[in-house]
Amino acid sequence: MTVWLVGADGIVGRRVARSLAGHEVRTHDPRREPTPIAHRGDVAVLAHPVEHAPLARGFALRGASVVTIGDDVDDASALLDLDDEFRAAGATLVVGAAMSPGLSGLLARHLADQLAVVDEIHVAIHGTAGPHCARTYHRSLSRRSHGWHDGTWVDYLGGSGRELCWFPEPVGAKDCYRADFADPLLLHTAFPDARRISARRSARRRDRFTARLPMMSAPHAEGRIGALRVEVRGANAHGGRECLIVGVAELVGTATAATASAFTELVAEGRLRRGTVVAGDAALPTAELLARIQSLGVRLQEFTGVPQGA
Amino acid sequence: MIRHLLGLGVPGAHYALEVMKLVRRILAALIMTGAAAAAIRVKGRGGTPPQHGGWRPLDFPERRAS
Repeated sequence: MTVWLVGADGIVGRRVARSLAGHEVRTHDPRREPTPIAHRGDVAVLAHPVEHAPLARGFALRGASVVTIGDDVDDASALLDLDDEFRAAGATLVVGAAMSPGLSGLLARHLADQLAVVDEIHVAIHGTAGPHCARTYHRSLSRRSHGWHDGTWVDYLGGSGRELCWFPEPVGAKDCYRADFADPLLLHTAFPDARRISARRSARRRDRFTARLPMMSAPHAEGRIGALRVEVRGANAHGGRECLIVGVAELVGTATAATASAFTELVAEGRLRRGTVVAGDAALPTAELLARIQSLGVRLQEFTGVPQGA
Repeated sequence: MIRHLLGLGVPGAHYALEVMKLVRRILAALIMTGAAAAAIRVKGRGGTPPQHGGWRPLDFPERRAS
C-alpha cells in the first residue's frame, strides 16, 4: 500500500508526509503526470491548491482511495458527486479532511452525540496555513456565503453577519463574518436534520474593505496560531436546551495535516466505507479519529462557561 | 487679524499670500488629524473586555494497538 501525496511541497503536504512516515509515501505532481500511477489499495492525499475533483476521479479509475484537503464549495460539491464512481471502484473518498471542513465536522459529531436532538451547528475559524490558504481566505470574504436556515439554503453577502466569537487561548475573541467555504455544505451532508448551519471566518476591518481587491501585500509563508470553534445547540434526553462548544487553538497547517493523516490511516486500514465520506458522518469512528488527531499534537478543548478575569 | 487677512490696509500683493497661508495651515491641520485618526482606526486594538480562560482540555483515550 502506497500513500500518494499531491502538493507535498506545501505546508500541509510536508506535515502530512512527516505524520505518515511509517507508511510508504510517494509524491505525485499532476502537472508532470496528469494520469496518476496509483494501484488498487493505495491512498492519495490531495493537498494541492487547485480543484481536486478531476484528479480524484483519476485515482478512482485506478482503484485508489482519496483524502482531499480543500474548502472550495464548488469543488466539494463536485467531489460529493463522485460517490458512485468510488463505490464502483471499491475505494473511499474523504471529502474535506482539513481543519475546516474536517476537524470541525468531527467535533460537531462529538458534541451531537451528547444531545438527543441537534438543531443548530455554528463553526468559526481563525487563521490560515500557507500562502494559497491566505489568498483563499482573502477571496472568501468577497463571495457569497451559503448558510442552511430552516430547511433551505440562504445566500448571504460575504463579510456580513458580524459575530464576536471566543476561541481558546491564546487566540481569544475575534470578530467573525460569513465567508465562502465548504463547511456548511459538508456539515449539512453529515447532519441532514440540523435546522441551521453557519460558518464564519475571523476578519479585521481592513480585511473586509480590501476583500474585493487583490491582496495588498504578499501572504506570509505560514500564518500564526489559528483557531477553530464549533458550537452545537439542541436538546438533551430530558428536553432541556443545551449549547455545547469545543475549540482548537493550533497552527492551521498542523491541525489540517493531523486531520488528513488520521483519515488517511483509517482509509489505509480499510476502516471506512466505500464511496464518499464526510467528517461528522455518524458511521465514522469519531472518537478514534479525534484521539489520533490529539496524538499528533493538536489540543482539543471544551468551553466550560467559567471565564476568568484578566 | 481678520482685517489683515482680508487685505484691508495691506498692499494687494500680500493679501493673497496671507489668505493662502491660512488655507494651507487649515488643510495641513485637517490632513494631519485625518491621518492620525486613520492610523488609530487601522492599527488600534482594544474594545474587548480583558478576559481569558473558560476552556479545559478534552481527553480522548488513545487507540489500542490492533
